[in-house]
Amino acid sequence: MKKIFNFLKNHPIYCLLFLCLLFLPSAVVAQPENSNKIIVRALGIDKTTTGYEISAIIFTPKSSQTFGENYKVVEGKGDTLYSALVSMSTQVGKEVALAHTDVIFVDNKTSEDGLIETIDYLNREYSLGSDTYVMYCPSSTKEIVKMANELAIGSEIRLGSISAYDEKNVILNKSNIESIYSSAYSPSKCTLLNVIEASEEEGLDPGGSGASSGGSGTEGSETGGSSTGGSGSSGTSKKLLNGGKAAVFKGGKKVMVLSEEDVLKYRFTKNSEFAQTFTLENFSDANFTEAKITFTVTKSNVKYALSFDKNTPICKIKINPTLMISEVNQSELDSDIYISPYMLGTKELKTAVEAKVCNDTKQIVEKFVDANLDVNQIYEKFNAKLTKKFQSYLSDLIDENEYLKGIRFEYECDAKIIS
Amino acid sequence: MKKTLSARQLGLIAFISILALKLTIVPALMFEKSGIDAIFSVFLINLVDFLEFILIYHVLKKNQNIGFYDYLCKHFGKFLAKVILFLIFIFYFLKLIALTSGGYNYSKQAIFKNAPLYLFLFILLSISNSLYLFRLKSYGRTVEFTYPFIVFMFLGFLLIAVLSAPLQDLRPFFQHSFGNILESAFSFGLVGGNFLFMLLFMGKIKFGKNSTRSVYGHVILGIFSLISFYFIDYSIFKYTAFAHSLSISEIVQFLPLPTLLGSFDWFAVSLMLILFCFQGGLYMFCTNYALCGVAKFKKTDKKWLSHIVLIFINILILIFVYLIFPSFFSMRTVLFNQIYIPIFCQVVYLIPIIVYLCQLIIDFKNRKKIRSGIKFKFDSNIKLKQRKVVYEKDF
Repeated sequence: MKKIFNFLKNHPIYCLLFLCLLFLPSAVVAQPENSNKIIVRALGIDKTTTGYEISAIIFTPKSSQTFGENYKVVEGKGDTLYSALVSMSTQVGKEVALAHTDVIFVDNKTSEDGLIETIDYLNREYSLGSDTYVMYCPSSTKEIVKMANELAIGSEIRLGSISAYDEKNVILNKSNIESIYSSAYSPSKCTLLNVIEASEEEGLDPGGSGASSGGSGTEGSETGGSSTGGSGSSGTSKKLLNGGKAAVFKGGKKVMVLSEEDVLKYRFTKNSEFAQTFTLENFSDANFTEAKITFTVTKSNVKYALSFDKNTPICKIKINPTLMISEVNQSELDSDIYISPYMLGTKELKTAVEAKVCNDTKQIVEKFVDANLDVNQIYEKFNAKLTKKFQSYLSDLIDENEYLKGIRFEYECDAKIIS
Repeated sequence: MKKTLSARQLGLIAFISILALKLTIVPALMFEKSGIDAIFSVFLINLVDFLEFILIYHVLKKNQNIGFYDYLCKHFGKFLAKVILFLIFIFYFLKLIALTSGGYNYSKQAIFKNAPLYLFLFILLSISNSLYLFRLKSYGRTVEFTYPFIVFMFLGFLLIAVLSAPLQDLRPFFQHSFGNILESAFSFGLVGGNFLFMLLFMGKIKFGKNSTRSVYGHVILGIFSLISFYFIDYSIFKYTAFAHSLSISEIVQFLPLPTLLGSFDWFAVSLMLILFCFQGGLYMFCTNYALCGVAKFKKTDKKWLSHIVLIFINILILIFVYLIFPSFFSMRTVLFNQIYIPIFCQVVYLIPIIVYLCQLIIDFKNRKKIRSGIKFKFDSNIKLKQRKVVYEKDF
């Protein structure tokens, strides 16, 4: 006995080995974790009178020679979001795993009643990153989820990728869980979310024969296998429309939806390095005659010059876009507009562009001011730079929340037209 | 006295001692108390720590051949020595409890939410005990081996966060009063005292040529990295930092990886587990050394005493974690929200100052005696001999 004790004392590694062997049998026969879970790729939340109805695109990972994802749409109901997820998990017989959720859709009722309360569970759940995209749907999210499912199976287009594109190129704003919470707790309280809707007329057609199995020439990893994703030939008649709109949220609640034109105007208030369009209508000068000129704005720098004139805060928005002529629509045929393109950027054109940019920016800013929506975080800008004066200005107001209306906005544009 | 640790290893251990829970739950807790101004609270805590480090380092360099317990007995007497060591024991024991509870809270959320506490305790305690049992030399070498990975991962995360996450302007600062900043720094006193462990390593450190530069360099790097981390964390989560209790894992989630790859946080989890283990080992060493000093009643060292103390500390941890602080919330309420623990921490912070003052007095006395010895150099031989005898007698 003493020999064994001394041996173990001199070679403690054997104790560790013995302990590992104790756990080995249970580890060998244990089921892999993945077999008890369903992976949610997209989640739609609809609010009803009794609680929440959720729909999700799920797949169960399975090992096979050719790895295949089995997308399905599953629904759940509950009086809270968490109980709805539990109900969904009960139906499928597996635990819901949110770690790979790309995008969350929220319907109009949920948005109007307040997102902060609704997605509280999603914010607490660590496995779901706070950079998960959130998209606003004017109608039911169930429809959108079904269409997204058909789209993913048939064409590899993921709504998460569309949302990522929108963030960078359309709304120029983060549209995720963190942005919703961050804006709700910030002084300005406003944020923008991407909008996706179902349309009869235009958009992505999610259905069609591409949904059947048989790997339509893809790398064989995603669409092959037994596609029982509820698509097939039956496809919905509506289309998925990502129309470049944006929903404005204040304090986690939806206030308004900006049209595509409004979003185009709004973009001039943000720095951007990505191509966007700008149109000048009925322009005439030495080169053009009542032409509709479409530009590509390759880059746009915006500076907010803040100052105080006595007790009035002044916010001067200086926009420096770099534009390139992309298309000219002119009824009068004129070969000159094709010759020497660098000469098309005349002083008159520059002035007209600058005037329109300033006018567009003014319109959208005034729209925000009228609705008392500080989408551009003017409060934070003033508070960071001129803290004392701004706090003094706020304390002089009857209602501190109406600070936007007392700010004088000025606009300046210095456009650069390249060819 | 046997030198088991090089000065460079001491610097590396000092770097690691600054991190751990300060990268996970502490930013959220401090933000709750004082918002963005928590950065100044952290700066204040680290400034005090750095000043204490300067004092401690001076004392260490002056006493390279005597252990801390012997030093205290010699200059303060046995009773005071035991009181001081007991205070140090309580301080590091509380840190160990906070590490256990906070580490489990982190691991549960970041790795596996159904993981039982005993699984985490098994990992943390077995590694901490092993690091202690294999002695300081092995601990120092292990830290030296893993240090490049730790620094590379930690600084890598900071870089990834800066490049991938949306950073916001932190201004305006001082939205809360300076009193609030001080109060926050005071409440989180347990989070400080990072270099106190060096006193317990007295007599074991081998000081070489560039030792000062090496140790100071690592300490400054650690403090600078930590404050940068707070800046970055609060820049990313300017208004919601209170809701992100796994800070180091959350600052890298904005890296645009393909969704099926998941997130980058597995590297953060690995880093944190390594840091928990190293800090656990360090705190185990400190608590053990301190309690052995308190329990020692005879001049000779007894090996069995350290083993019994080790078992006793482990049992205490289990009692505290299972019965007294069954959840992180209960631990947090006691350690950070009540006044007793912060006051106790401030008392412990006085120890390096007292030791330094004592060292100053000793240095002054030594200089006085050396000067008086030199003064009699030119007296007659007989007189010199007599004086010399007296001089030697005094020492």
